[in-house]
Amino acid sequence: MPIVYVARRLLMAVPTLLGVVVFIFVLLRVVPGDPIAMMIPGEATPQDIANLRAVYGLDRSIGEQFVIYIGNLLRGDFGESISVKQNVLSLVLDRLPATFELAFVAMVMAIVIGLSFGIIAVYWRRRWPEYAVDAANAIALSLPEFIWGLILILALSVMWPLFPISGRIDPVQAADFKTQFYLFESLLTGRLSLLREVLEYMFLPAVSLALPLAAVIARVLKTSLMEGIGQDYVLLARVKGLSPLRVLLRHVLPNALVSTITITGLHFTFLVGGTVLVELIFSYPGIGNMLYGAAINRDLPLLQGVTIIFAVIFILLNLLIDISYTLVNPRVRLA
Amino acid sequence: MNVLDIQNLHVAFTQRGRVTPVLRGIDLSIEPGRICGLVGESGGGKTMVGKAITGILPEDARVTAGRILFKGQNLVDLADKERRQLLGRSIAMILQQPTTALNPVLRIETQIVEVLQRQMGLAHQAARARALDLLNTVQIRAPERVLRQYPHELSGGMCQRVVIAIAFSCQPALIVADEPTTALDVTVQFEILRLLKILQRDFGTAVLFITHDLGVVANLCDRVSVIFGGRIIEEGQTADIFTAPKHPYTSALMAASPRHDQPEKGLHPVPAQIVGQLWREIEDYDRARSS
Amino acid sequence: MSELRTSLWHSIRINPQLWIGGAAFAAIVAIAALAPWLAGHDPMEQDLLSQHLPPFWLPENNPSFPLGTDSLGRDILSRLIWGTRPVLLVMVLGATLSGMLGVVVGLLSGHFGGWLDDAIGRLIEVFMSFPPMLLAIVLVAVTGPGLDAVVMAIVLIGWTRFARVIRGEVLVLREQDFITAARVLGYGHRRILFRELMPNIAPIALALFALEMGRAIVVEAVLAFIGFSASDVPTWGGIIADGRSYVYQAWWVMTLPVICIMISVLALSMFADGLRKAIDPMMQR
Repeated sequence: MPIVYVARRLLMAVPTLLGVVVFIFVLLRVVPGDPIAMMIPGEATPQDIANLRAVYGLDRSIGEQFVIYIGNLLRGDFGESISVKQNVLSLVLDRLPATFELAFVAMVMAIVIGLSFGIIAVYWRRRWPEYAVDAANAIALSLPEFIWGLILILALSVMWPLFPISGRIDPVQAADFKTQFYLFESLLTGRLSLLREVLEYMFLPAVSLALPLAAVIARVLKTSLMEGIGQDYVLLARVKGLSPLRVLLRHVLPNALVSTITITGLHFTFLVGGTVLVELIFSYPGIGNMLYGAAINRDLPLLQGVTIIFAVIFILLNLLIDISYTLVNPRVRLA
Repeated sequence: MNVLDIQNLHVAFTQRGRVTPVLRGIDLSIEPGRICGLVGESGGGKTMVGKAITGILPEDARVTAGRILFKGQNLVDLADKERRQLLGRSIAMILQQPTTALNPVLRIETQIVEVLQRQMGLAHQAARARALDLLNTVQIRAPERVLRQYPHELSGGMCQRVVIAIAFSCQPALIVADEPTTALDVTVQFEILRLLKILQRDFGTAVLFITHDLGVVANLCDRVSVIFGGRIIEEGQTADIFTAPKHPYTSALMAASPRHDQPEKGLHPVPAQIVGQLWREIEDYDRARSS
Repeated sequence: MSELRTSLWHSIRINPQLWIGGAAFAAIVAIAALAPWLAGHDPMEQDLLSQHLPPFWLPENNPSFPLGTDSLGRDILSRLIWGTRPVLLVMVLGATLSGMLGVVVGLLSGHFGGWLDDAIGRLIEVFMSFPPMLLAIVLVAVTGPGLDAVVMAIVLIGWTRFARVIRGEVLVLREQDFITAARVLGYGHRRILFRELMPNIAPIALALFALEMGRAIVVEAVLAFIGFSASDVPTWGGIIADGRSYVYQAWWVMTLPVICIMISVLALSMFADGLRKAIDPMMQR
């Protein structure tokens, strides 16, 4: 009954979402005292301040403000940005593809690297590939994304100039795109030189995001595979005369994936959260940089919109991970 | 010629440089189409014999001496690739725990079909049809449905029937059955044993039947070997062993087995002095070999 | 005396991580304390005639600036030395406050259970619905930049880690005989919480604390990197930000503080590992 399960999980996410919304309201309106003071840059007359107060409904009581705030959110109205004078939701949706593509590429990298390293370490266990993978894991896990990003800049752009370190594409070429999905658009329209360039810009930020997750996946997968190797069904598969590679990939791996996804699920959200940081290091024009701009300009509605949308994405992502457990595990699927 | 000839087989564990022997010179042979019982208590090494034959010894265990001749071919120094040609096709295995012997995330169909494809070179459709036949042969009702199911949806007895179907799928010359009924209910045990006997006779397969249960051996096996501490201490025709056991351990083991026909007799554990004497002999043996 | 020396030597040999990590931590404290005497220059002093001077091992260096200068001609070595002060402040204060908050919340949640535990669980879930850096940036945007804002941000994103782990530990401890015995004896909540539970979770809290210090350094560096930390004192993140803009002209400006952060983070995670190793035998009840 997967649909019932999904519905139940969706329902369980509602109180969390409510908590998120309340928390942001408290953080942005109650804590700092006067949000108008922090929005207005310098020489504003008291009359200006009063006008702005009325525009943003800040002259009302906190209770009233909260009701209006919730009402607006329910209608999907995130207000208008102060610094850019545009609808917050459309601003965020305009930037979302950039962050989405970055996170997507990083996830694919992390999964591909993590899975292959884990499998290599177990297939050639007790030999040098296993020790090499163990060492690489330990190094990757010892430092956070921020430091990896900076090290990658120094190594692959300064010392050895291979990749660009700022932005998403050469601004001249940005006009070539009709959508904000640069990667998918260039891929689908078959413009390979453009695709290559998009990937070059994305490479360093994606690697610094992918490294920690890849190491976690490789380590957890390796442990689960090692546990799987001694199982009865693996012995039986070997007695069937299957090749060691087929035994590993067809019989041990699917079972190991179940526990690997369960254990590493949380780390996928860490990766998505890490985009904020990595975008800042690489001046990558996604949501993280938009958040930074909103923070610098003290653009309250934009700050609020970005935060809520990011939280919604996080909650949905957690939901997706939960559902994916049931997809890979037939025992849960049919229960 | 015998299907299986095990000669002076030694297997030892090596952990952190320390060598611990588990099999100490096993001799055992099976004629084609016969059932040979290998009987002993847990820890006696009987499972290791099965694993040595099928080449699935634990990673820290190794054959240190002796030969395992399958139709005259020594399995011990066979390359992995050549061994895999024989496994599944000529030598198959049935494990003790049917519920864990099947892969929990693969459908029954996949688990039967893959061996037919690999060892018989069948195309998928042909393999699937053969799989259906096999499920009929092991007396599974609604085989079409079972093919699409996962192991956790089947009972233990059903799982064991599937494992048996896999074992017989390529009509092997030898099946190693390691306690195939121990984990099952008594009523199911009986059905599985009868099924095993029928299939074995129909296909003319030789079976190495590993068990701790002498009662099962009496009904099923042509010959019996009794194992203790990795050594065969008595071997012979089933009838001879049961009427006139030569070794005191064998008689004690018989007294210790529950008798289905005489439940009121109760259980008698193997006397400590017999076990102690056997261990002393094994220690002497190890000392003689290491010096 | 010699007995003390051998036992110390033994301890270093069986648990080098603890001592290397501890020594690195002590070094940061010492450098921060002695900054005015160690630094050759005023870290804020600009010298626009000597911008981007290279460090001593490169040609055209100036011996008066051993590690070179940044884009405003400020001495990098002095800035790195003075930079240990905000680092020390932020990591000790941030880790202590988030540790205290998280431990108290985790203890209460695990010990009392019921609706309180549910409510705290929900609250933690809400906090986990944000990327940590996002929360930190939003908070600093609201309060304005500065070291106090950085510390608040660290606490805001750090307390849940303590609370989750401690809560789990308390749930395990609750089932053990000595807690049941304390309950049967009719001890009050305060006694059970502080005399029975606290000593048992202290080792884990300590190891988490060491890890949190490492994280605090990184959070501070990130916030300084985007100009949200203190602007009136030099910070490692600030040097990185300056170096990032001119990385092709003067790679060393960014490299040096990155190395400082790497060493500190690695040392603190070694320290945490060493602590855990030292505590482990005690944990075997």
